[in-house]
Amino acid sequence: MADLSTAQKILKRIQDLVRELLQDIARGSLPVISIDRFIPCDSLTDGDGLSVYERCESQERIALKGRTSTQRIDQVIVDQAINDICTKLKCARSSIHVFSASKGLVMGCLQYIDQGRLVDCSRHRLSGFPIPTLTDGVTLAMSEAEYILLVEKETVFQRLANDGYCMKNRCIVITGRGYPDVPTRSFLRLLVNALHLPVYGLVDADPYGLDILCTYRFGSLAMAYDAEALATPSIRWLGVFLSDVRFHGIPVRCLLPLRENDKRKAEAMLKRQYLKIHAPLWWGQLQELLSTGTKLEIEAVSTISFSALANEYIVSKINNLQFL
Amino acid sequence: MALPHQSTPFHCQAQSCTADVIPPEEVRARIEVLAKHFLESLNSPNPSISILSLVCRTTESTQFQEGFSTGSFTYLSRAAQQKKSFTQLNGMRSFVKVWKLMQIVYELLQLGKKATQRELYYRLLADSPDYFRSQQQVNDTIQDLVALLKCSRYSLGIIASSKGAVVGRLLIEDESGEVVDCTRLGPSGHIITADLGFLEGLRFRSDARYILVVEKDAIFQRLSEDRYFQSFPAIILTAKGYPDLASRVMLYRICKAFPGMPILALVDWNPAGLAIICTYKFGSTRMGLEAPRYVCDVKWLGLRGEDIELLPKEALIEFSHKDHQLARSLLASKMLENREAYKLEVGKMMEMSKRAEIEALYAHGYDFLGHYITQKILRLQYI
Repeated sequence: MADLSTAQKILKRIQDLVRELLQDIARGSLPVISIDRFIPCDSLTDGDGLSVYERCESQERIALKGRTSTQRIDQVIVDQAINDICTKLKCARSSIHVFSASKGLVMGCLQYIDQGRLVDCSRHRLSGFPIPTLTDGVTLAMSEAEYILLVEKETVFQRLANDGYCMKNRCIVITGRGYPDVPTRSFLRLLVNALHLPVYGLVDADPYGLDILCTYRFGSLAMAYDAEALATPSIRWLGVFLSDVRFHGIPVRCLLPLRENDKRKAEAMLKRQYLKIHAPLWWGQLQELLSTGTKLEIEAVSTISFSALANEYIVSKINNLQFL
Repeated sequence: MALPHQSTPFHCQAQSCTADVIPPEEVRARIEVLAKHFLESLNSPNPSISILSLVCRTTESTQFQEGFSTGSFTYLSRAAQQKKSFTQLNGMRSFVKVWKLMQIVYELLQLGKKATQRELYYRLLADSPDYFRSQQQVNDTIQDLVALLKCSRYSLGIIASSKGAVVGRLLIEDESGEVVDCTRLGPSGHIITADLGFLEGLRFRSDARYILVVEKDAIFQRLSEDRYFQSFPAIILTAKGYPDLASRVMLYRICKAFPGMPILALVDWNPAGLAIICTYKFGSTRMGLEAPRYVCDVKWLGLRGEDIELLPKEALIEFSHKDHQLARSLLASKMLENREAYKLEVGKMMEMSKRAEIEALYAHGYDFLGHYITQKILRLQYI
């Protein structure tokens, strides 16, 4: 939380760090900063830990050399530097006042207060409401939602908005428009903590869709140090699945073949031990994708009928508990 | 809204061709007329399969019209027609594809529903797998249908996602009476809906003096977060790069509501930035028939060649091969023919073989962007 005491703590950590560096220099030795590094739990054979990312045995030691860097400062380097700083100071990005513009959208049975303004997400808007950039400034006002629906793609979100999904169903719909950014994941976490609602994920049945779902559920490697505040372990995979072709009347022709990059992604993901242990059914679906060599997109549901997604598919899956 | 139409008796190509936004009943009527014509041809004493006549959408048939009071625009010449015939070998498949798409669109309109291009792809894949194999083929056929029926994709019931956002000293009232106050929004602003019909029904109130069109989302959010519009009377709009139709419609509606307000663009100093300005100003061939309707007189505020001295040398980035290509094609295009100032800018970019991003201004501090914009506007330094 970005309150005064946290700011004081971080300032103190910065001062301690600088003091260490000065002491190194005073002693005549090369100043060194050591930063924890995270690796995903796929290479550990007895990955029993609750955390998805384990600190490496050896910490990376960055030494200041005599020469100045000739590297041009660009965004990638700055991002990495910010991550390093947050890891070292053990704080969230928002605590050091670094914000990323929010990409996500929300709509449905929800009212919240953001920096003094009341936002009512149940008002019928065809494009949804942007998720607030700073979750810290948000307090929930009211919600009668029965569940939270998470969709991967903006086009699906808009399709649901167009069909008036939230007018007919008491729920909250969120999209991160692809890989979710920090504000989106943080906002989802806030909703879950406050409302204790089930969360259903609607993604394409392909390796990238599942990876996006995993990012929501487990967090991301880049932000591993903040995984606890950003991961939502209770997410369920509602669809789509390859088996929907059998059980929901989607023509078999709509199964598209996996491309080379899909296959590579799937093989890499199958190595993730934490996925196998904590989400074995998801891991099983991934295997099925690879063994059949096919994938299925959410839009294929529209072959049943144009509004099948909003009117039948989602609701029937939830009611029949057909999620993983 | 008056359509920018210029026709002189001396040029037979002068009639411009545009895709209209028309109500679903009329689209269905146009489809029914085509179907009737097809059946009549088959049933006639000399039976034949009717030929479909589409507007030709190539660069050769793209014309550029300089306007004085109505604004300049690109358009597709009505005179250049492309014929699709069942009996010609090459044309057979695309002939059938247009009819198959028409069938689905007709159904969509009858049900009063809307679909995305991706959903249409799956529908066509399921119904006619021999004809439609890829999304690109579906998109091309959709463009064919737009050229045939001469109505916009939106009229066919095809929805797209929205890209643009607006913030600042603007009150937007929709048909249901709801008012959005764009000074009281988060940093992402008010997202521009892709529903063109909805946009057409909006009413605006504003005390702003300028409209600022910003290329990049990050700059938009920075200005929005800093509440730039509180200290300077502006409406700020972004389409996050090349504007989609909805963003252009929004800008067009705002500028028509406030005719005296200058529209100023803030883009990166590179050929793509100028190309974005040209899309707002003149329309684009890619959007084919939907181009000429929503042109606005957008002026180039920054970044420009005169601002380069404000930037540190490290901020200048090398031109890539694509930058060179784009620069050359801009210089050669009809759009820049009478615009010396624009040609000079491109010339300078090519000479230095470098480009610069707006963010480079942050080298002078985060507040500098606001000062820079205000100064340039007050000194009338826009072209």
